Amino acid sequence: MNTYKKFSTYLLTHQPLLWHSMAIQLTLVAVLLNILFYGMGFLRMNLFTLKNSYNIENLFFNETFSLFWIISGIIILIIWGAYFYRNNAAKNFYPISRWYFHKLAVLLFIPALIYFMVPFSFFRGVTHQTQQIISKKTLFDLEYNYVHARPFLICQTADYNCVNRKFPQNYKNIDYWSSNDYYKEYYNQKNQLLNVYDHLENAKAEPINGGLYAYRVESRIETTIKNGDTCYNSRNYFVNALTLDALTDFHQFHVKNFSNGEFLNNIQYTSTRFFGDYDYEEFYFLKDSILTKIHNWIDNEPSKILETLNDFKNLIDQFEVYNTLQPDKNYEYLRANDFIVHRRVTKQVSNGGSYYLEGDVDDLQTVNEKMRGFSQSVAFDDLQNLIKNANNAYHAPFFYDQFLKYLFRFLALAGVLLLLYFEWGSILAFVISIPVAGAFAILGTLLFALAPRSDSFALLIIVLFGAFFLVMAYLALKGRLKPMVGNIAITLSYFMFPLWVLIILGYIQVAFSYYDYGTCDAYGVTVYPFEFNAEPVSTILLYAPFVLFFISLFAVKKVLAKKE
Amino acid sequence: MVLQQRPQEIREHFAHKDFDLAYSTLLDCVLDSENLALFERIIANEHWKEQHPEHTSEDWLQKCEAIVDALEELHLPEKRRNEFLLNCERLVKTYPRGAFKLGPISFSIRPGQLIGLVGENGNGKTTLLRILAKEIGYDEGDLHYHNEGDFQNDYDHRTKLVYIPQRTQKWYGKIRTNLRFCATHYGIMGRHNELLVEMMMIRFGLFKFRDLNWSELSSGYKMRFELARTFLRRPEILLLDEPLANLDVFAQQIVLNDLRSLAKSSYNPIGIILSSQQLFEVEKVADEVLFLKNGAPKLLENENQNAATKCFIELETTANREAIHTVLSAIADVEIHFNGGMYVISSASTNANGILEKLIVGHVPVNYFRDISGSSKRFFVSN
Repeated sequence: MNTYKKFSTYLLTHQPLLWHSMAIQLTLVAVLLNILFYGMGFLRMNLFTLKNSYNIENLFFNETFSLFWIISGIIILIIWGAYFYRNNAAKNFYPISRWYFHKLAVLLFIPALIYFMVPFSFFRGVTHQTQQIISKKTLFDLEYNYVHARPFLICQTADYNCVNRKFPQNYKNIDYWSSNDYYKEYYNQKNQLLNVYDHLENAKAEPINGGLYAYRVESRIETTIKNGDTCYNSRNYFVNALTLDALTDFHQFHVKNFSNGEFLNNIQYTSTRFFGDYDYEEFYFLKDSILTKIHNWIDNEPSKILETLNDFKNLIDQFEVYNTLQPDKNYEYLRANDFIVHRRVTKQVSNGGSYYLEGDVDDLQTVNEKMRGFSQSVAFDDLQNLIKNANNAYHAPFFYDQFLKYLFRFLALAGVLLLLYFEWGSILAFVISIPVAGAFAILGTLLFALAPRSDSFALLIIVLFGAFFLVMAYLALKGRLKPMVGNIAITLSYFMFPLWVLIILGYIQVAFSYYDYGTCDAYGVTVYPFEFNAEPVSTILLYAPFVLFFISLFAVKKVLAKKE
Repeated sequence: MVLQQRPQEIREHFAHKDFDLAYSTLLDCVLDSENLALFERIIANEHWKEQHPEHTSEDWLQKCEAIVDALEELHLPEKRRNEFLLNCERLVKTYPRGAFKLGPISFSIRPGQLIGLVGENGNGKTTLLRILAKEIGYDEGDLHYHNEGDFQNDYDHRTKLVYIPQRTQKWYGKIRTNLRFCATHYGIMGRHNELLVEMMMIRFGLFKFRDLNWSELSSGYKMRFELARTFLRRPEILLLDEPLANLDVFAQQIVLNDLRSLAKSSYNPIGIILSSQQLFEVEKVADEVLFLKNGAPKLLENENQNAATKCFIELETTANREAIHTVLSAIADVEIHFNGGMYVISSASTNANGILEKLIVGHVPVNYFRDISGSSKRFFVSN
């Protein structure tokens, strides 16, 4: 305590701004918060979560951690703001340097940046605990075995995928869904349609998460897809069914880019992604190299199948994945049927249910009853989650994909903060900054109009911001801006400017990047360009600290302006 | 008084056992010297005093005289005094819709000068102080500060103009911390900062409250804190709005004496303008009194020259009006007004002694008698 007092006195009598801004204390608190959240992430992660969480990347934001984070930030801001605003140097007309506000902004930027690293620390805790639960080598073994055993697992439910095909005839019978006829039709005309899409040079696929293909479509393709009222969410899954035209477009896109013209080789992949479970981990086994190996086993080394099933059984038991798998019986059934499993096709009806269209249902049911099958609903989900979550924890896609974007926004805000401070002490700079801001607003409006998506509310906000800044510029240049009105305008701009800049940044990113910030559901397309892929409520919560940050920091300036 | 003469003055005060006056003068001298070694000795003395509550005045005197000796050995240059600190010429401030007009006012203030600003409520005292403090603007006239060319903007200028409003702002945290924070911004860093703040607290009687929060201080000590904070800022002009309000009589005396002493500092004299309703107290310490009536100024000095012949008396008595009339009827032009509590007697043909003589001879019981002919109080009672 004595040491702290001495240190505090030293700061007070040598570095008053450092003392008054409490930057060191804030930094320490921010670091402590990071440590605390690291611990929370570490403790929160366990095998159960790995198996049951849909996506561990969302743990922080879906559970109360984010709330705790935001609330702690707000409390810190309020306490700090009250402390800082009281008796501050500018308020009392103590001499301050020309760079006082800039220094202050830099000093506060450091703890603020550390504070905004909290989600990252949380995720690092999650990652480190995951490493304790499942090593990288074990994870690889698990994936390897799962991918190779998956085609031979006889399941209880309708989702038979590869197993429902007749081997070794490679995909001769395609899976039927209600749109099957359309595939056929457009397949027959593929050459013609391909010409239409010859210009789609930018379309590409990028391997992520250990070689799995996720399709990231450039804006032109995206626009085309959008015509079918479909969009991607941030994970590149389809979240809504395509219309016929869009579906066709997309198939042709696949044909051109991934199938070397062999459309049917990928039809299963595509159709399932379109209509059913869009969880891509389920389709590891569809990779060509694996299929070749599987076909080889069936033709030449069937015993490998049993071996794989046994290994698989051992691994999932190790991770307490509930299952009733009996590898011997499963293998015997497959061998007895020459590794040909009858198809079982369902058709969705309007109320969301399904019914069997064809297939030897009785046979399968008998087998399932005898073997008690391999419960997909529990085991597959657990296993897929386990693999997916462990992969996510290791490769930290949250950090690289989401967190950096999120950090980018924070940096943008900090930039705005510094920019606004430049006007202090110079009327000329102030007068210049307003029309510049207005020009940016117009530019933003144009960008928005050119962006592939539109959202009338956000557009309205941008237009209003632009109009506001332009009116202010006009009044300021004409000398008609009364001090009181000017103060109100400045205060308003503090609230509006960062929000406005974020919207612009969001739309610039939408226009020029792979990422989008929209969701697509029964209510249509909703775009959240200025937030972190969160829902509106989360957006407000996430924006609140920023607003408080600005209010606290600009309060001094406002008082100063008022008194001058 | 030049700096080298002040140790002798301190010794005389001690010799006459005016210990408080001697000590405050000693503190002022030490503060003026800006000698950190002397600061440390004063602070050590204060700590010693705290730790030895049973000490004798001889012990204390001995320690103080040792400091006076040290002070004598110092040779400090006197600061050059400026011609004027502030000069306003026909300053006018008009509020919208003709609600109130202040001025035209013309006056100037020099270093070491203390001007009292008096007048009834709503006559423009606070408005004038706020104009001088650059808090609000004015409509006509000229207002110049001797060093105004040195400042880049109003904010810069206001760092050197100290205005203490009637209701001082609330301060948070320990008073010592706040004073250190203030001093640091004025370039007083490190050890110098710590010692100067301790010295200021000693000078304004705050030393024993150094670890208290502002909210724990009484009104009088809050004003002293404000003064300590003010003098750390080394202002050239100090503007005080009703500093004596809410202070008891004893505290008023201390604050006024402090102000006068600090204004008259040999080493660093400043100009002080203070407004107050405590007319007599202000008049005792002020070099000039500016009386504001409906926004129009009357400099007491000038008024006294204009109306020097007329005598004004305040009288409190148990006698009735007829008895007073009877006794004073011999004075030809006597006027007697009763304001409900006191009689105000005026005459141009006699002076206070003449009136008092008549009252005594006439056996009028006198409970209170005051000659206000030279005081601005007469402006309140006449018309």
